[in-house]
Amino acid sequence: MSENRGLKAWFKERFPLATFAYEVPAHANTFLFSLGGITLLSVVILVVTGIILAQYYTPNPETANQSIRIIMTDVKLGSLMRSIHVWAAETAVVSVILHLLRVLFYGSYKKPREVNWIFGVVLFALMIGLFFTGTVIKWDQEGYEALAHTVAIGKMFGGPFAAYLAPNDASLLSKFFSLHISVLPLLLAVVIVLHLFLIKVLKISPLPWKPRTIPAGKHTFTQHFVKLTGYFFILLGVLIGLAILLPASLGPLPVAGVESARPPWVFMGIFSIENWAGIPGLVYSSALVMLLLLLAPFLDRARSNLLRERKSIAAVAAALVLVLSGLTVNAYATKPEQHIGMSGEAAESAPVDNSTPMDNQKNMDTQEKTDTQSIGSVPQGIDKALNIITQLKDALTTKDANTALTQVKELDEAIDPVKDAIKAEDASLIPSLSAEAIEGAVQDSNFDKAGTLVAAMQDALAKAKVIFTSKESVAKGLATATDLLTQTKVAVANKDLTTAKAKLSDLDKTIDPLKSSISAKNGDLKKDLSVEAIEGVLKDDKPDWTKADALLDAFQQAVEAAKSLFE
Amino acid sequence: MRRVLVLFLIAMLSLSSAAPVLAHGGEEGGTVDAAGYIKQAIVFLEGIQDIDTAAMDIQKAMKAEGSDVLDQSKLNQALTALQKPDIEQTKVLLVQALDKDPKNAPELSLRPDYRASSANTAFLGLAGVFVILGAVVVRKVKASH
Ligand code: HEM
Repeated sequence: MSENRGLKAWFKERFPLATFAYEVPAHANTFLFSLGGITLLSVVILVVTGIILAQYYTPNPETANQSIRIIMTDVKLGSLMRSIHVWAAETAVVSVILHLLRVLFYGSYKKPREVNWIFGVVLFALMIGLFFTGTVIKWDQEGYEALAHTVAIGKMFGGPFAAYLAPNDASLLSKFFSLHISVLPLLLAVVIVLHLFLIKVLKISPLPWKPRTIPAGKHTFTQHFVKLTGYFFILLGVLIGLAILLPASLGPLPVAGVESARPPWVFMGIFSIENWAGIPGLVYSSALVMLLLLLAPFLDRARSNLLRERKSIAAVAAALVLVLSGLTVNAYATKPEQHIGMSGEAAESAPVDNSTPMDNQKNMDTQEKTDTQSIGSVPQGIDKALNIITQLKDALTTKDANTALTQVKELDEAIDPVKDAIKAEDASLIPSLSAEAIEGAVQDSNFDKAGTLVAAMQDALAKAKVIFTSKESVAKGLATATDLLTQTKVAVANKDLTTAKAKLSDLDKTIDPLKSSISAKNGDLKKDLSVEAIEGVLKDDKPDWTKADALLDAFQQAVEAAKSLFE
Repeated sequence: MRRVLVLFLIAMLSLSSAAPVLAHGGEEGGTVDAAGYIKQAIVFLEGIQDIDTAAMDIQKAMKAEGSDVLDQSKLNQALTALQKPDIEQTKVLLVQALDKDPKNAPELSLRPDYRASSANTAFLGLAGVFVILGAVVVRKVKASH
């Protein structure tokens, strides 16, 4: 017995837990003043489950998605651990937002707690960052699009942001993995320590109003701690329940260049803004919200903590909350726009990782291939040759044989890759495209002859350019026509008369200017490329959809035939 | 106080006047092969459930380079299913057109449901115990005298 007391005393002296029994105001033990603590509890659960998940996860673009699938299906309790992690991320973000709002509406950021509020804003940013990087490293469509957005934002900022996101030996996925599991958690830990330290030394803020009844008895931090332990069990129970009843899912392997996923709800508000104002809208509006948050204690100069004496700040805060909620609802209700990949930027922005998922690598290869093969590159080659010719002419007039010879060589290199293509269009142009003849004349110092040859070549190239540019525009027009045809077909399949008619008229406008070029090559095709018959069918209020579809098919065949003429 | 209001007004105005400058619809650069189009169609169905874009992608896949490796009859069936619209069935058919097993194809989402099993029941029981235990602890904390 006495020995026992001795041991206790020994321990008490060396681990003086009693110091935590300091007095705190009664309201510090209420739920609203426990929201910061509840956030911390979620963070603890996130750390533990996160460490377990990291044992199985592989931060490699080729295997990441699959490794999560294995966690979900093969690893014992894997799905449970992952689902708890995912749900705890939700409770952490919800509780940190509620905690922030509590502090804001209670005016708890006022003197002397301004600096701790700023630490709080940093913590908020870190939590959002953790949520975001967590989304990315799932490496499904949603995560991949989140990353593509980051890359687009990085490009907008340039500088170190862009440099960090630029492809190098480390994949973007592994960079984001290291952010998610080391950089951000370490920063979070440091700032949490600072935050808690300041709470301890500055004490909990007073209630804005005088409590009607002065609570009897003493409230201590130890009691607060015990209460938090209670909340911990409730939270853990809720998380396990959610994880079992609504297990976390995982999206498909990502496909580059499309925007088909909605972001997690946390980002839905700013996603709405992005839909209207693109990436800059997203960046500026988030920056603005962060700035307003950081400045809040300095903008709110009211002496009192009472809301009724801080009407404008309360109105701004309430309006921001309302606007963000409205934007969130709006984003769920509307179809997202395409902001980043796609279109001309596709080749640039789609492969956001140097070891890209699925077939992106393959797509990139075909991209390169089609670039060099496509007729689009022939006019470019011709342009290059024409540029060299201008310089060559100068060299010939000044009779500068050395420069002329190097330029002839460059000219030869520029013409060589397009010669075959030109020959296929108009073989009669080929004799004028001989760089060798010019070279010979220059070597003989016969600058006049060289000049004539160069002028002839210039003529031939100019002719070839006309042929190819028109060919290119016809091919482009036909590609647009194919897309419009597909859209018309979809509208017909959906029995959507208005869209079908609109698309058909677009189609007509696209095809019409191409007709003369097409009939120059194949006169028979012209009559097949008329939308009149289809328009006739669609005139009816109850059109014969099958017939329209059949006619569209015939049209499509004609377009394909025309395409092959211009390949 | 007035400063705050002015700042807020400026903020709201700049938000609302931001023109839809960058938002633009998608036309791919024509670099995707047939299987790529199918995968695009699947993610459009998985994500925003964009039936029109998916239908277009399927039609493009039927004509794109590499369409010979796809099961064309499955693609036709997928288009029919899409017009009903039966999105789940469409996705399955599209994955089959890629010659993959829809049961564990990574091209599809993995969405586990609650399954009644003794382990899950035990976990739910444990969760309930934790919640009750926690509530008891929270309620027990009272001011000391
Ligand atoms: C990881 C995130 C965070 C954790 C773990 C955390 C934790 C805590 C805890 C335990 C308290 C004690 C009182 C209470 O819970 O209300 C507190 C108070 C405080 N927190 Fe946080 N917090 C976090 C984020 C934030 C954020 C986002 C803000 C605001 C932008 C913020 C601002 C403050 C302020 C000003 C106080 C002092 C309040 C007072 O004295 O009444 N904290 N925080």
